Amino acid sequence: MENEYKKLFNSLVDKNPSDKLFEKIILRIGKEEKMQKVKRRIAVFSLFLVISFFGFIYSFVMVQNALISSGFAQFFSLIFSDYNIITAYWQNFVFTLLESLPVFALVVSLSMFSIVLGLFAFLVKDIKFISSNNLIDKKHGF
Amino acid sequence: MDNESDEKLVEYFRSGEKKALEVLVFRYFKVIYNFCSRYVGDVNVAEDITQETFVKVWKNLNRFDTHKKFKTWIFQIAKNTCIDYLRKKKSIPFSNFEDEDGTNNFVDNFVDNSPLPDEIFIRKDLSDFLEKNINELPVNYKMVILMYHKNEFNFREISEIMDESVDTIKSRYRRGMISLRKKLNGYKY
Repeated sequence: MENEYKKLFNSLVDKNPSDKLFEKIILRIGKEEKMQKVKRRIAVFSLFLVISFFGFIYSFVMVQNALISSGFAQFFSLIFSDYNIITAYWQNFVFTLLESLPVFALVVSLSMFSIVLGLFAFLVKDIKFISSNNLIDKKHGF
Repeated sequence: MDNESDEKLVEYFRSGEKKALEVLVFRYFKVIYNFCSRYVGDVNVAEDITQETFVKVWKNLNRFDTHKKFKTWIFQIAKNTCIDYLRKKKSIPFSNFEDEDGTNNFVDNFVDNSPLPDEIFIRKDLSDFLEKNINELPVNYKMVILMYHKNEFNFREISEIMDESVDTIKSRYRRGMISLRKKLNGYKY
């Protein structure tokens, strides 16, 4: 009886998938591998974005304090109060302004700002990639 | 690498040999495709489910216990992927599932051990004829029968794949075979 069934089920012909199925599977695994890397990168970038955002806030406050303590704010306000004197001695005024500029704090703050923008741009790009792939998966019912 | 066992290939993959996964995919993609197409009854979505199955295999390969049989494991994943798909499509009629105690009134318990009619084996369209009759069985019966006869699993392995007890699987097999026998015997030649 067992042999009879064996014979019977051996006659059941398997369907052939499309010629490209093997390649499709390998490509899909490759895509998933990339997705996994992107997801990891999103996690790391998000952490760095939060850190650098707080860093930027801190550096911004640092610039504000430095502008006040270096006298830059007072020198700068002369433009509005003593415009005629400033125009007469503009070269000295510019030199004084530059001298009182808290360069280090400004460089740190601008660097932090550019890091925040850069990370944000990368994150948007990666999130777009993930969401477009998720849409494809949903389309296929998974 | 082509002649290595599945479990050995998994070990190669874990040690960084990406080619090992390709060998495993090549070894199983047709059989998994056929399993999925019969499970969901739709050849058009079977390719997508097959792809999804292999993605799951790739994702979980590091967690696979190499002391177990890879073939059983991959069929288990394929079965779960088919169920996920069918659940989302809500296309499994509840009548296709019998109770845990095997209650389902569509067959009696009579086991027919008489030989199959010789006419069956001389049919030119035997494959289509058998496929049609098997497809008329409830999905759980159909898959147990196919896994046993077509994929050469034993009842214990099928019970692992289907996540059911061995007795339930045996009961499904018996009931499925009785129903199939009735269909085959009842055919007018």
